[in-house]
Amino acid sequence: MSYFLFLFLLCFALAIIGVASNPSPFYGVIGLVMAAFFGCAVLVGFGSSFVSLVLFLIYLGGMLVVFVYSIAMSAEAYPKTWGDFLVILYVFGFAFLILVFSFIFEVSDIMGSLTVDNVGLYVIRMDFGGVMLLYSIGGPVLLLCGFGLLLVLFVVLELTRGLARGALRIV
Amino acid sequence: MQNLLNYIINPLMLIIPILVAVAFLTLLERKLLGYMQQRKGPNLTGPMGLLQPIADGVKLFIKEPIRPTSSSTTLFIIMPTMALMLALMAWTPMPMPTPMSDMNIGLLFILTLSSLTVYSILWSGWASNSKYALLGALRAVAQTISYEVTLTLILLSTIMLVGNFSLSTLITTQEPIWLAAPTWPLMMMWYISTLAETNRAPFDLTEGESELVSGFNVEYAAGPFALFFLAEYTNILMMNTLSCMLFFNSSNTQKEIYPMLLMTKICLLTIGFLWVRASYPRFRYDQLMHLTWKNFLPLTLALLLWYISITVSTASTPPLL
Amino acid sequence: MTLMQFTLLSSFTLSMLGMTMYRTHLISALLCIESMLLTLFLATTTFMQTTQTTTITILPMTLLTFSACEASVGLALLVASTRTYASDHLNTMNLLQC
Repeated sequence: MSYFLFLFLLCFALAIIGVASNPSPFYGVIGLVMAAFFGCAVLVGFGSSFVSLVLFLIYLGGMLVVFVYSIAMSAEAYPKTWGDFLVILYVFGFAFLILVFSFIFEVSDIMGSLTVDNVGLYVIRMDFGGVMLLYSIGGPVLLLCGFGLLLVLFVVLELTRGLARGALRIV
Repeated sequence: MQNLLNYIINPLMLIIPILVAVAFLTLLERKLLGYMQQRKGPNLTGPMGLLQPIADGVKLFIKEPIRPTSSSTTLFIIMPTMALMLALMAWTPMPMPTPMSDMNIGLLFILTLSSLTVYSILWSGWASNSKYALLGALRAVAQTISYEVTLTLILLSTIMLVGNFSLSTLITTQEPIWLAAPTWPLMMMWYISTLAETNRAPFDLTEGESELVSGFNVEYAAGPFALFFLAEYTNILMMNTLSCMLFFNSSNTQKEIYPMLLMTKICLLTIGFLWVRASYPRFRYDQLMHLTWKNFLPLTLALLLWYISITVSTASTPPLL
Repeated sequence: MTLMQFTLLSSFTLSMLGMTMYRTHLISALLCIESMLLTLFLATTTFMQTTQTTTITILPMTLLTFSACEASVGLALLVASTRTYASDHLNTMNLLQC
């Protein structure tokens, strides 16, 4: 399994480079979906399947919307892929940076020692049990999240109000 | 030998019957539509047209695939494969009556795969670099993510009654009674939402022939098109299997009888899909959105609260494992 | 430093660098912020797993909620600026009048 984890982590880092090297937004979204996929694979490898699937579901929905917005708002006649000169410069620069980091920080241990599964048998999986806490002692946090979402609803409504009354309308 | 059995033969034994079923589902659809419109369907190839799907398949796969020069090549080629792969992957946690892999969060897994399916539509529509395909893909995305909200809420309220994300627990829960009896409003909404989720008539606005030519797959021909076609019908069968699992699961888990019962129910539900296609005209797009956001969403939210409070107040919460 | 920590650290740094160095599209900046949040999510979850502390699981969930908030506000800003300046290019925001 640790070889799989190594592979997933490598792909995750590559996908993040793909996002951070800033190709056209469409390809950036594709890179981010790949990053979310491999990140979730890493989490499954570490043993928390529930949290990773929730993350993947939410990121998929979110990235869908972002992709549609990027089609609508930033259309380009010739979208820059990862093969274009400037982007490939970024890609190689970032990959070089990762190499330098790895020499500085001395990556010694491949995986770290502990994951969820190697401490013995669990009746309730750790992530299931942890998420459950949101509904008992973590209640205030849940309320805070709900309040945040409600606030954001009004913020978005105010920002995108039409007819020259929205927040950013100068003209 | 063990590895060969586990990782190659086992999945193949799942995939091949599904693909054969899909092939004959297309024939069933054409025959049924034919008889509903007072004509005969395909009846020349083989006895009663039974060889028609094979002939169609051979024709589609020996045709020359088209690749538009202005398309985004890699995505354009990968997406049909991804669509079929996702549609087939969604069958792994289905217990019929023994699943291929018994996942403890099977329902969540299926939901995730069905939202990945939207990506295959969106990216194929965008990658083919044509206005029709793009508009079809955008319509598909809006429709599918809207109905996914309803589907998720319905799933949540059944999970509240079942107590688990696992699909095997659904069999145990439904030993005394079908879940369709206590949750019939959910069941009806679920069936309509699956119609919309698989882009079937009367919700097939992604490929409105009169305004969008063929929707997101205009630019596809031959092999890739066949893959999309197979993926669509596999999804239909998968969704109907899921509806059977959720609401009509039989209590009889003998390995000899259970598949027969399950397949009969799936056939009936699928024929329902075809019947709906023959009977109803296409929705208007705003009506489609009104149906989910203004009718289904409030109803499912209220029913979710209802099922939570009923189980809690009658002290009949399932064992949450 | 384990490989997991190293990957998370470097990917966070890289997405931050990507956001600071790129100044064409607003939406690309949003994507970089999203990838930073993804890295943070992974970091908190692995923190939960490697320290065997169940209570921390609340942290990634909260982070996910707030990242959803962030994404929606970012998209709303994108819509507003596109409607105001007719494109989402960041250099149009420097214009005094348009």
